[in-house]
Amino acid sequence: MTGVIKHNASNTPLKKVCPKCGKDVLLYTHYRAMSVGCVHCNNISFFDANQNLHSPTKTKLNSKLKVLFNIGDVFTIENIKYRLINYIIKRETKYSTSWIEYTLFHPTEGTLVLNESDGHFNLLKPIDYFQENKKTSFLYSVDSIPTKFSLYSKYKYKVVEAQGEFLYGVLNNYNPSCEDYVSPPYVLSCEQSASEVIWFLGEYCSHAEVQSWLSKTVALPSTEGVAPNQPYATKYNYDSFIKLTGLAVVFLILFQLLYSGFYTAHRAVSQNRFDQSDSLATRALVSPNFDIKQSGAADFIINSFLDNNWIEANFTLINETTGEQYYFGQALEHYSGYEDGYAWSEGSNTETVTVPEISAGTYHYNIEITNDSVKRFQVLHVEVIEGVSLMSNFWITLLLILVVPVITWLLKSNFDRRRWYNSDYSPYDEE
Amino acid sequence: MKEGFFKGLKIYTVFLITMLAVFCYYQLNGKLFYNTSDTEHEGNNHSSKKSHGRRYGRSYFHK
Repeated sequence: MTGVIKHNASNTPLKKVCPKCGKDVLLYTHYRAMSVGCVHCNNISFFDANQNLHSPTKTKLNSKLKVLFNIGDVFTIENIKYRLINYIIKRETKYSTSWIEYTLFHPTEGTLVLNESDGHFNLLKPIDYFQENKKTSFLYSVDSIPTKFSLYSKYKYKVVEAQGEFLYGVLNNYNPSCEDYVSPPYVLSCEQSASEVIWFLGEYCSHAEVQSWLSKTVALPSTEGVAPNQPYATKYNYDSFIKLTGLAVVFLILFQLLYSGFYTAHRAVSQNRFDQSDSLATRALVSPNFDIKQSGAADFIINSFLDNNWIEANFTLINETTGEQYYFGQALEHYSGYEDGYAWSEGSNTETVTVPEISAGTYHYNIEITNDSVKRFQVLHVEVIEGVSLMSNFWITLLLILVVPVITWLLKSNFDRRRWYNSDYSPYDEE
Repeated sequence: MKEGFFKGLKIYTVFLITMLAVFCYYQLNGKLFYNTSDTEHEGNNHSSKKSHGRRYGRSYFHK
Protein backbone atom coordinates (compact mmCIF):
# COMPACT_ATOMS: atom_id res chain seq x y z
CA MET A 1 0.00 0.00 0.00
CA THR A 2 3.01 2.32 -0.15
CA GLY A 3 1.77 3.51 -3.51
CA VAL A 4 -1.38 4.88 -1.92
CA ILE A 5 0.58 6.91 0.61
CA LYS A 6 3.26 8.19 -1.72
CA HIS A 7 1.11 8.77 -4.75
CA ASN A 8 -2.38 10.13 -4.65
CA ALA A 9 -3.32 8.66 -8.00
CA SER A 10 -6.93 9.70 -8.01
CA ASN A 11 -6.50 13.17 -9.45
CA THR A 12 -2.94 13.72 -10.52
CA PRO A 13 -1.72 11.12 -12.96
CA LEU A 14 1.98 10.33 -13.25
CA LYS A 15 3.43 11.35 -16.61
CA LYS A 16 5.84 8.94 -18.29
CA VAL A 17 7.22 8.90 -21.80
CA CYS A 18 6.42 6.05 -24.12
CA PRO A 19 9.77 4.45 -25.09
CA LYS A 20 8.44 3.79 -28.57
CA CYS A 21 6.70 6.98 -29.74
CA GLY A 22 8.09 9.41 -27.18
CA LYS A 23 4.66 10.79 -26.28
CA ASP A 24 3.32 11.21 -22.77
CA VAL A 25 1.37 8.42 -21.15
CA LEU A 26 -0.65 9.15 -18.02
CA LEU A 27 -0.55 6.66 -15.16
CA TYR A 28 -3.35 6.99 -12.61
CA THR A 29 -1.97 4.05 -10.63
CA HIS A 30 1.53 5.59 -10.68
CA TYR A 31 4.23 3.03 -10.08
CA ARG A 32 1.82 0.30 -9.15
CA ALA A 33 1.41 -0.25 -12.87
CA MET A 34 3.53 -3.11 -14.18
CA SER A 35 2.75 -2.67 -17.83
CA VAL A 36 1.47 0.26 -19.85
CA GLY A 37 -0.28 0.30 -23.19
CA CYS A 38 0.34 3.57 -25.01
CA VAL A 39 -2.87 5.02 -26.40
CA HIS A 40 -0.88 6.81 -29.13
CA CYS A 41 1.11 3.95 -30.66
CA ASN A 42 -0.54 0.84 -29.15
CA ASN A 43 2.76 -0.49 -27.81
CA ILE A 44 2.79 -2.11 -24.39
CA SER A 45 5.85 -1.34 -22.26
CA PHE A 46 7.03 -2.61 -18.88
CA PHE A 47 8.57 -0.92 -15.86
CA ASP A 48 12.14 -1.88 -15.03
CA ALA A 49 13.76 -1.75 -11.60
CA ASN A 50 14.54 1.94 -12.10
CA GLN A 51 10.87 2.72 -12.81
CA ASN A 52 11.50 3.41 -16.47
CA LEU A 53 9.38 2.00 -19.25
CA HIS A 54 11.12 -0.38 -21.65
CA SER A 55 10.64 -3.24 -24.12
CA PRO A 56 7.68 -1.86 -26.09
CA THR A 57 5.66 -4.58 -27.80
CA LYS A 58 3.27 -3.73 -30.60
CA THR A 59 -0.33 -4.86 -30.09
CA LYS A 60 -3.00 -5.06 -32.75
CA LEU A 61 -6.33 -3.29 -32.53
CA ASN A 62 -8.11 -5.99 -34.44
CA SER A 63 -11.24 -6.65 -32.46
CA LYS A 64 -14.61 -5.94 -33.99
CA LEU A 65 -15.95 -4.98 -30.57
CA LYS A 66 -16.58 -1.32 -30.02
CA VAL A 67 -14.77 0.21 -27.06
CA LEU A 68 -17.37 2.35 -25.31
CA PHE A 69 -15.32 4.35 -22.83
CA ASN A 70 -12.03 6.24 -22.91
CA ILE A 71 -9.02 5.70 -20.70
CA GLY A 72 -9.30 8.26 -17.90
CA ASP A 73 -13.12 8.42 -17.87
CA VAL A 74 -14.56 8.82 -14.38
CA PHE A 75 -17.26 6.48 -13.07
CA THR A 76 -19.06 7.64 -9.92
CA ILE A 77 -20.27 4.49 -8.21
CA GLU A 78 -21.93 4.85 -4.81
CA ASN A 79 -20.43 8.35 -4.51
CA ILE A 80 -16.90 7.07 -5.10
CA LYS A 81 -15.08 8.30 -8.20
CA TYR A 82 -13.31 5.53 -10.05
CA ARG A 83 -10.97 6.18 -12.98
CA LEU A 84 -11.01 3.91 -16.01
CA ILE A 85 -7.37 2.81 -16.33
CA ASN A 86 -7.51 0.12 -18.99
CA TYR A 87 -9.60 -2.12 -21.14
CA ILE A 88 -8.94 -5.64 -22.33
CA ILE A 89 -10.74 -7.50 -25.06
CA LYS A 90 -10.75 -11.24 -24.35
CA ARG A 91 -11.76 -14.08 -26.58
CA GLU A 92 -12.86 -17.48 -25.37
CA THR A 93 -10.72 -20.21 -26.92
CA LYS A 94 -13.48 -22.79 -27.44
CA TYR A 95 -16.45 -20.82 -28.79
CA SER A 96 -14.57 -17.66 -29.88
CA THR A 97 -16.97 -15.35 -28.12
CA SER A 98 -15.44 -12.01 -27.14
CA TRP A 99 -16.07 -9.50 -24.40
CA ILE A 100 -14.53 -6.30 -23.03
CA GLU A 101 -13.33 -5.76 -19.51
CA TYR A 102 -12.83 -2.19 -18.27
CA THR A 103 -10.78 -1.76 -15.11
CA LEU A 104 -11.93 1.02 -12.78
CA PHE A 105 -9.42 2.23 -10.22
CA HIS A 106 -9.58 4.14 -6.96
CA PRO A 107 -6.42 4.59 -4.88
CA THR A 108 -7.99 3.45 -1.62
CA GLU A 109 -11.07 1.50 -2.70
CA GLY A 110 -9.10 -0.67 -5.13
CA THR A 111 -10.23 -1.88 -8.51
CA LEU A 112 -13.54 -2.88 -10.03
CA VAL A 113 -14.05 -4.55 -13.37
CA LEU A 114 -16.89 -3.47 -15.64
CA ASN A 115 -17.56 -6.29 -18.04
CA GLU A 116 -19.52 -5.82 -21.28
CA SER A 117 -20.67 -8.77 -23.35
CA ASP A 118 -23.39 -8.62 -26.02
CA GLY A 119 -24.56 -5.33 -24.56
CA HIS A 120 -24.92 -6.80 -21.04
CA PHE A 121 -22.94 -5.21 -18.21
CA ASN A 122 -21.57 -6.70 -15.02
CA LEU A 123 -19.67 -4.93 -12.29
CA LEU A 124 -17.18 -7.28 -10.63
CA LYS A 125 -14.93 -6.88 -7.63
CA PRO A 126 -12.24 -9.22 -6.34
CA ILE A 127 -13.26 -11.11 -3.21
CA ASP A 128 -11.49 -13.09 -0.50
CA TYR A 129 -12.74 -16.52 -1.34
CA PHE A 130 -11.23 -19.87 -1.98
CA GLN A 131 -12.77 -23.19 -2.81
CA GLU A 132 -10.45 -26.13 -3.05
CA ASN A 133 -12.67 -28.75 -4.58
CA LYS A 134 -15.09 -26.88 -6.74
CA LYS A 135 -18.63 -28.17 -6.93
CA THR A 136 -21.19 -27.58 -9.62
CA SER A 137 -23.33 -25.69 -7.12
CA PHE A 138 -22.62 -24.24 -3.69
CA LEU A 139 -23.75 -21.57 -1.27
CA TYR A 140 -22.00 -18.22 -1.00
CA SER A 141 -23.29 -15.38 1.17
CA VAL A 142 -24.03 -12.17 -0.68
CA ASP A 143 -24.89 -9.31 1.71
CA SER A 144 -25.12 -11.95 4.46
CA ILE A 145 -27.75 -13.88 2.50
CA PRO A 146 -26.72 -17.45 1.60
CA THR A 147 -27.14 -17.68 -2.15
CA LYS A 148 -26.92 -20.79 -4.27
CA PHE A 149 -24.58 -20.47 -7.22
CA SER A 150 -24.59 -22.95 -10.09
CA LEU A 151 -21.83 -23.66 -12.58
CA TYR A 152 -22.55 -21.96 -15.89
CA SER A 153 -19.33 -22.32 -17.88
CA LYS A 154 -15.71 -23.40 -17.86
CA TYR A 155 -13.40 -21.75 -20.37
CA LYS A 156 -10.00 -20.33 -21.22
CA TYR A 157 -9.37 -17.06 -22.98
CA LYS A 158 -6.79 -15.13 -24.97
CA VAL A 159 -6.17 -11.39 -24.74
CA VAL A 160 -7.08 -9.96 -28.13
CA GLU A 161 -6.55 -6.29 -27.46
CA ALA A 162 -5.47 -4.18 -24.49
CA GLN A 163 -4.86 -0.50 -23.75
CA GLY A 164 -4.10 1.52 -20.63
CA GLU A 165 -2.11 0.74 -17.52
CA PHE A 166 -2.11 -2.66 -15.87
CA LEU A 167 -1.23 -3.82 -12.37
CA TYR A 168 0.19 -7.00 -13.89
CA GLY A 169 1.98 -8.06 -17.04
CA VAL A 170 -0.98 -8.05 -19.37
CA LEU A 171 0.88 -9.80 -22.15
CA ASN A 172 2.13 -12.60 -19.90
CA ASN A 173 0.65 -15.80 -21.06
CA TYR A 174 -1.16 -16.76 -17.85
CA ASN A 175 -3.64 -18.84 -19.75
CA PRO A 176 -5.89 -19.18 -16.70
CA SER A 177 -8.71 -21.67 -16.37
CA CYS A 178 -11.94 -19.80 -15.71
CA GLU A 179 -15.22 -20.87 -14.23
CA ASP A 180 -18.40 -18.85 -13.91
CA TYR A 181 -21.09 -19.64 -11.36
CA VAL A 182 -24.38 -17.78 -11.54
CA SER A 183 -27.21 -16.83 -9.25
CA PRO A 184 -29.00 -13.92 -10.93
CA PRO A 185 -28.23 -11.08 -10.61
CA TYR A 186 -24.89 -12.31 -9.27
CA VAL A 187 -21.98 -14.15 -10.84
CA LEU A 188 -18.97 -15.69 -9.13
CA SER A 189 -16.04 -15.89 -11.48
CA CYS A 190 -12.85 -17.78 -10.80
CA GLU A 191 -9.58 -17.40 -12.68
CA GLN A 192 -7.00 -20.03 -11.81
CA SER A 193 -3.46 -19.97 -13.19
CA ALA A 194 -0.42 -21.98 -12.13
CA SER A 195 0.51 -19.39 -9.54
CA GLU A 196 -2.76 -17.93 -8.24
CA VAL A 197 -6.52 -18.20 -7.92
CA ILE A 198 -8.64 -15.06 -8.11
CA TRP A 199 -12.35 -14.92 -7.39
CA PHE A 200 -14.63 -12.09 -8.45
CA LEU A 201 -18.18 -11.38 -7.36
CA GLY A 202 -20.19 -9.61 -10.04
CA GLU A 203 -23.64 -8.14 -10.27
CA TYR A 204 -25.69 -7.50 -13.39
CA CYS A 205 -26.11 -3.80 -14.22
CA SER A 206 -28.82 -2.25 -16.32
CA HIS A 207 -27.95 0.33 -18.98
CA ALA A 208 -29.59 3.02 -16.86
CA GLU A 209 -27.35 2.09 -13.96
CA VAL A 210 -24.19 2.23 -16.08
CA GLN A 211 -25.28 5.52 -17.58
CA SER A 212 -25.91 6.96 -14.12
CA TRP A 213 -22.25 6.41 -13.23
CA LEU A 214 -21.06 8.62 -16.08
CA SER A 215 -21.09 12.38 -16.37
CA LYS A 216 -21.65 12.24 -20.14
CA THR A 217 -24.12 10.30 -22.22
CA VAL A 218 -22.67 7.22 -23.90
CA ALA A 219 -24.46 5.23 -26.60
CA LEU A 220 -24.55 1.80 -25.00
CA PRO A 221 -25.05 -1.17 -27.32
CA SER A 222 -28.41 -2.91 -27.35
CA THR A 223 -28.49 -6.26 -25.60
CA GLU A 224 -28.50 -9.61 -27.38
CA GLY A 225 -29.98 -12.73 -25.85
CA VAL A 226 -30.08 -13.35 -22.11
CA ALA A 227 -26.92 -12.92 -20.03
CA PRO A 228 -25.92 -15.80 -17.69
CA ASN A 229 -26.75 -13.80 -14.57
CA GLN A 230 -29.34 -11.44 -16.00
CA PRO A 231 -32.27 -11.19 -13.58
CA TYR A 232 -35.70 -11.77 -15.08
CA ALA A 233 -36.87 -8.34 -14.02
CA THR A 234 -34.64 -5.33 -13.72
CA LYS A 235 -37.42 -2.76 -13.53
CA TYR A 236 -39.04 -4.33 -10.51
CA ASN A 237 -38.12 -6.60 -7.63
CA TYR A 238 -39.29 -10.12 -8.54
CA ASP A 239 -38.97 -11.43 -4.97
CA SER A 240 -41.09 -8.54 -3.72
CA PHE A 241 -43.62 -9.28 -6.45
CA ILE A 242 -43.96 -12.88 -5.22
CA LYS A 243 -44.13 -11.79 -1.56
CA LEU A 244 -46.80 -9.17 -2.32
CA THR A 245 -48.88 -11.74 -4.17
CA GLY A 246 -48.44 -14.20 -1.28
CA LEU A 247 -49.54 -11.54 1.21
CA ALA A 248 -52.62 -10.78 -0.88
CA VAL A 249 -53.55 -14.48 -1.10
CA VAL A 250 -53.04 -14.97 2.66
CA PHE A 251 -55.23 -11.91 3.38
CA LEU A 252 -57.89 -13.21 0.99
CA ILE A 253 -57.98 -16.66 2.60
CA LEU A 254 -57.96 -15.26 6.15
CA PHE A 255 -60.76 -12.81 5.36
CA GLN A 256 -62.86 -15.55 3.78
CA LEU A 257 -62.28 -17.88 6.74
CA LEU A 258 -63.27 -15.18 9.25
CA TYR A 259 -66.16 -14.04 7.06
CA SER A 260 -67.52 -17.58 6.71
CA GLY A 261 -66.82 -18.56 10.30
CA PHE A 262 -67.93 -15.49 12.21
CA TYR A 263 -69.78 -13.01 10.00
CA THR A 264 -72.25 -14.97 7.91
CA ALA A 265 -75.14 -16.69 9.69
CA HIS A 266 -75.68 -19.49 7.15
CA ARG A 267 -79.08 -20.31 8.67
CA ALA A 268 -82.15 -21.95 7.12
CA VAL A 269 -85.03 -19.46 7.36
CA SER A 270 -87.65 -21.15 5.25
CA GLN A 271 -88.41 -24.69 4.13
CA ASN A 272 -91.47 -25.36 1.99
CA ARG A 273 -92.90 -28.24 0.05
CA PHE A 274 -95.23 -27.81 -2.93
CA ASP A 275 -97.19 -30.57 -4.59
CA GLN A 276 -98.69 -30.88 -8.02
CA SER A 277 -100.34 -34.16 -7.29
CA ASP A 278 -103.89 -32.82 -7.45
CA SER A 279 -103.99 -30.95 -10.69
CA LEU A 280 -101.68 -30.18 -13.57
CA ALA A 281 -103.12 -26.71 -13.49
CA THR A 282 -101.37 -25.95 -10.17
CA ARG A 283 -98.55 -23.86 -11.49
CA ALA A 284 -98.63 -20.81 -9.25
CA LEU A 285 -97.32 -21.35 -5.75
CA VAL A 286 -97.06 -18.95 -2.82
CA SER A 287 -94.86 -19.43 0.23
CA PRO A 288 -95.65 -18.49 3.82
CA ASN A 289 -93.89 -15.45 5.26
CA PHE A 290 -90.41 -15.85 6.66
CA ASP A 291 -87.82 -13.50 8.17
CA ILE A 292 -84.41 -12.74 6.78
CA LYS A 293 -82.42 -11.27 9.67
CA GLN A 294 -79.05 -10.77 8.00
CA SER A 295 -78.80 -8.50 5.00
CA GLY A 296 -76.72 -9.98 2.24
CA ALA A 297 -77.01 -12.97 -0.03
CA ALA A 298 -79.32 -15.93 0.38
CA ASP A 299 -79.35 -19.35 -1.23
CA PHE A 300 -82.54 -20.83 -2.59
CA ILE A 301 -82.05 -24.60 -2.73
CA ILE A 302 -84.59 -26.14 -5.07
CA ASN A 303 -85.17 -29.85 -4.99
CA SER A 304 -87.55 -32.20 -6.75
CA PHE A 305 -87.85 -35.89 -7.59
CA LEU A 306 -88.00 -35.78 -11.36
CA ASP A 307 -87.97 -38.96 -13.34
CA ASN A 308 -87.33 -38.22 -17.01
CA ASN A 309 -89.01 -34.94 -16.47
CA TRP A 310 -88.25 -31.21 -16.20
CA ILE A 311 -89.61 -28.06 -14.63
CA GLU A 312 -88.69 -24.41 -14.67
CA ALA A 313 -89.42 -22.38 -11.55
CA ASN A 314 -89.52 -18.59 -11.78
CA PHE A 315 -89.42 -16.84 -8.44
CA THR A 316 -90.55 -13.45 -7.26
CA LEU A 317 -89.23 -12.73 -3.78
CA ILE A 318 -91.18 -9.92 -2.17
CA ASN A 319 -90.36 -7.85 0.90
CA GLU A 320 -93.56 -7.57 2.89
CA THR A 321 -92.64 -4.17 4.32
CA THR A 322 -90.96 -2.29 1.50
CA GLY A 323 -92.40 -4.03 -1.52
CA GLU A 324 -88.93 -4.67 -2.95
CA GLN A 325 -88.98 -7.51 -5.42
CA TYR A 326 -86.33 -9.92 -6.61
CA TYR A 327 -86.78 -11.97 -9.75
CA PHE A 328 -84.88 -15.13 -10.53
CA GLY A 329 -85.48 -18.53 -12.00
CA GLN A 330 -84.04 -22.02 -12.17
CA ALA A 331 -84.69 -25.06 -14.32
CA LEU A 332 -84.49 -28.61 -13.02
CA GLU A 333 -84.27 -31.67 -15.21
CA HIS A 334 -83.36 -35.25 -14.66
CA TYR A 335 -83.25 -38.02 -17.22
CA SER A 336 -81.95 -41.54 -16.87
CA GLY A 337 -82.05 -44.81 -18.75
CA TYR A 338 -80.33 -48.01 -19.69
CA GLU A 339 -78.67 -48.28 -23.05
CA ASP A 340 -76.24 -50.78 -24.60
CA GLY A 341 -75.71 -52.44 -21.25
CA TYR A 342 -74.93 -49.20 -19.44
CA ALA A 343 -77.08 -47.13 -17.10
CA TRP A 344 -76.95 -43.38 -17.73
CA SER A 345 -78.37 -40.27 -16.21
CA GLU A 346 -78.11 -36.55 -16.79
CA GLY A 347 -79.30 -33.41 -15.08
CA SER A 348 -79.95 -32.98 -11.40
CA ASN A 349 -82.85 -32.92 -9.00
CA THR A 350 -81.22 -30.22 -6.88
CA GLU A 351 -80.06 -26.74 -7.85
CA THR A 352 -79.04 -23.71 -5.82
CA VAL A 353 -79.72 -20.11 -6.74
CA THR A 354 -77.81 -17.42 -4.90
CA VAL A 355 -79.76 -14.20 -4.63
CA PRO A 356 -77.54 -11.23 -3.74
CA GLU A 357 -78.19 -7.99 -1.85
CA ILE A 358 -81.29 -8.95 0.06
CA SER A 359 -82.01 -6.53 2.85
CA ALA A 360 -83.23 -7.85 6.21
CA GLY A 361 -86.99 -8.10 6.56
CA THR A 362 -90.05 -10.27 6.23
CA TYR A 363 -90.52 -11.96 2.86
CA HIS A 364 -92.56 -14.40 0.92
CA TYR A 365 -91.99 -15.69 -2.55
CA ASN A 366 -94.19 -16.62 -5.45
CA ILE A 367 -93.25 -19.35 -7.89
CA GLU A 368 -94.54 -19.68 -11.40
CA ILE A 369 -93.93 -23.16 -12.73
CA THR A 370 -93.47 -24.17 -16.33
CA ASN A 371 -93.41 -27.90 -16.90
CA ASP A 372 -94.51 -30.73 -19.14
CA SER A 373 -98.15 -30.30 -20.10
CA VAL A 374 -99.05 -33.94 -19.34
CA LYS A 375 -96.47 -34.99 -16.76
CA ARG A 376 -96.67 -33.83 -13.17
CA PHE A 377 -93.57 -32.93 -11.23
CA GLN A 378 -95.23 -34.26 -8.06
CA VAL A 379 -93.24 -32.34 -5.46
CA LEU A 380 -90.99 -29.31 -5.17
CA HIS A 381 -88.93 -28.47 -2.08
CA VAL A 382 -87.55 -24.97 -1.59
CA GLU A 383 -85.18 -24.15 1.24
CA VAL A 384 -83.94 -20.62 1.89
CA ILE A 385 -80.55 -20.15 3.58
CA GLU A 386 -79.66 -16.64 4.73
CA GLY A 387 -76.13 -15.30 5.29
CA VAL A 388 -74.32 -17.41 2.73
CA SER A 389 -70.60 -16.87 2.33
CA LEU A 390 -70.41 -16.23 -1.44
CA MET A 391 -67.55 -18.59 -2.28
CA SER A 392 -67.84 -17.64 -5.96
CA ASN A 393 -66.54 -14.14 -5.11
CA PHE A 394 -63.59 -15.73 -3.31
CA TRP A 395 -62.66 -17.98 -6.25
CA ILE A 396 -63.00 -15.16 -8.79
CA THR A 397 -60.80 -12.84 -6.70
CA LEU A 398 -58.22 -15.59 -6.17
CA LEU A 399 -58.20 -16.26 -9.90
CA LEU A 400 -57.73 -12.57 -10.72
CA ILE A 401 -54.93 -12.23 -8.17
CA LEU A 402 -53.14 -15.30 -9.53
CA VAL A 403 -53.46 -14.44 -13.22
CA VAL A 404 -50.55 -11.97 -13.23
CA PRO A 405 -48.14 -14.22 -11.23
CA VAL A 406 -48.96 -17.26 -13.36
CA ILE A 407 -48.30 -15.35 -16.59
CA THR A 408 -45.13 -13.91 -15.05
CA TRP A 409 -43.99 -17.38 -13.96
CA LEU A 410 -44.47 -18.75 -17.47
CA LEU A 411 -42.49 -15.85 -18.95
CA LYS A 412 -39.77 -16.27 -16.31
CA SER A 413 -39.49 -20.01 -17.02
CA ASN A 414 -38.99 -19.25 -20.69
CA PHE A 415 -36.46 -16.57 -19.76
CA ASP A 416 -34.50 -19.04 -17.58
CA ARG A 417 -34.38 -21.57 -20.40
CA ARG A 418 -32.95 -18.89 -22.69
CA ARG A 419 -30.44 -17.97 -19.98
CA TRP A 420 -29.05 -21.50 -19.95
CA TYR A 421 -29.15 -21.90 -23.72
CA ASN A 422 -25.44 -21.10 -24.08
CA SER A 423 -24.30 -23.20 -21.14
CA ASP A 424 -22.78 -26.67 -21.25
CA TYR A 425 -24.18 -27.23 -17.76
CA SER A 426 -27.83 -26.33 -18.34
CA PRO A 427 -30.23 -27.96 -15.86
CA TYR A 428 -32.76 -28.10 -18.69
CA ASP A 429 -30.56 -30.52 -20.67
CA GLU A 430 -31.25 -33.20 -18.06
CA GLU A 431 -34.98 -33.09 -18.70
CA MET B 1 -39.03 -4.37 4.67
CA LYS B 2 -35.80 -3.48 3.01
CA GLU B 3 -35.42 -0.47 0.77
CA GLY B 4 -36.60 -1.03 -2.76
CA PHE B 5 -39.22 -3.62 -1.81
CA PHE B 6 -41.84 -1.80 -3.84
CA LYS B 7 -39.48 -0.91 -6.70
CA GLY B 8 -41.55 -0.98 -9.89
CA LEU B 9 -44.47 -2.55 -8.04
CA LYS B 10 -46.53 0.48 -7.08
CA ILE B 11 -49.17 -0.12 -9.75
CA TYR B 12 -49.31 -3.82 -8.89
CA THR B 13 -49.66 -2.98 -5.18
CA VAL B 14 -52.51 -0.58 -5.95
CA PHE B 15 -54.11 -3.32 -8.10
CA LEU B 16 -53.92 -5.86 -5.26
CA ILE B 17 -55.24 -3.45 -2.64
CA THR B 18 -58.11 -2.44 -4.97
CA MET B 19 -58.94 -6.09 -5.67
CA LEU B 20 -59.01 -6.96 -1.98
CA ALA B 21 -60.99 -3.84 -1.08
CA VAL B 22 -63.61 -4.59 -3.73
CA PHE B 23 -63.72 -8.22 -2.61
CA CYS B 24 -64.29 -7.21 1.04
CA TYR B 25 -66.95 -4.67 0.03
CA TYR B 26 -68.81 -7.25 -2.09
CA GLN B 27 -68.63 -9.91 0.63
CA LEU B 28 -69.81 -7.63 3.40
CA ASN B 29 -72.71 -6.34 1.27
CA GLY B 30 -73.71 -9.74 -0.09
CA LYS B 31 -73.06 -8.73 -3.70
CA LEU B 32 -72.01 -11.14 -6.41
CA PHE B 33 -69.20 -10.52 -8.92
CA TYR B 34 -70.94 -12.79 -11.39
CA ASN B 35 -74.61 -13.63 -10.96
CA THR B 36 -75.31 -16.93 -12.70
CA SER B 37 -78.99 -16.88 -11.76
CA ASP B 38 -79.67 -13.66 -13.65
CA THR B 39 -81.37 -12.20 -10.61
CA GLU B 40 -83.10 -8.89 -11.03
CA HIS B 41 -84.06 -6.53 -8.29
CA GLU B 42 -86.45 -3.61 -8.23
CA GLY B 43 -87.82 -1.30 -5.62
CA ASN B 44 -91.39 -0.88 -4.51
CA ASN B 45 -92.70 1.00 -7.57
CA HIS B 46 -94.73 -2.07 -8.53
CA SER B 47 -93.86 -1.59 -12.17
CA SER B 48 -94.22 -4.60 -14.37
CA LYS B 49 -90.97 -6.30 -15.13
CA LYS B 50 -89.89 -8.96 -17.53
CA SER B 51 -88.02 -11.87 -16.12
CA HIS B 52 -87.08 -14.98 -18.05
CA GLY B 53 -89.55 -14.04 -20.71
CA ARG B 54 -92.50 -13.72 -18.34
CA ARG B 55 -94.36 -10.73 -17.02
CA TYR B 56 -94.72 -10.62 -13.26
CA GLY B 57 -97.33 -8.54 -11.58
CA ARG B 58 -97.48 -8.09 -7.89
CA SER B 59 -101.25 -7.98 -7.95
CA TYR B 60 -101.41 -11.45 -9.42
CA PHE B 61 -99.20 -13.17 -6.87
CA HIS B 62 -99.54 -11.05 -3.80
CA LYS B 63 -101.39 -12.59 -0.98
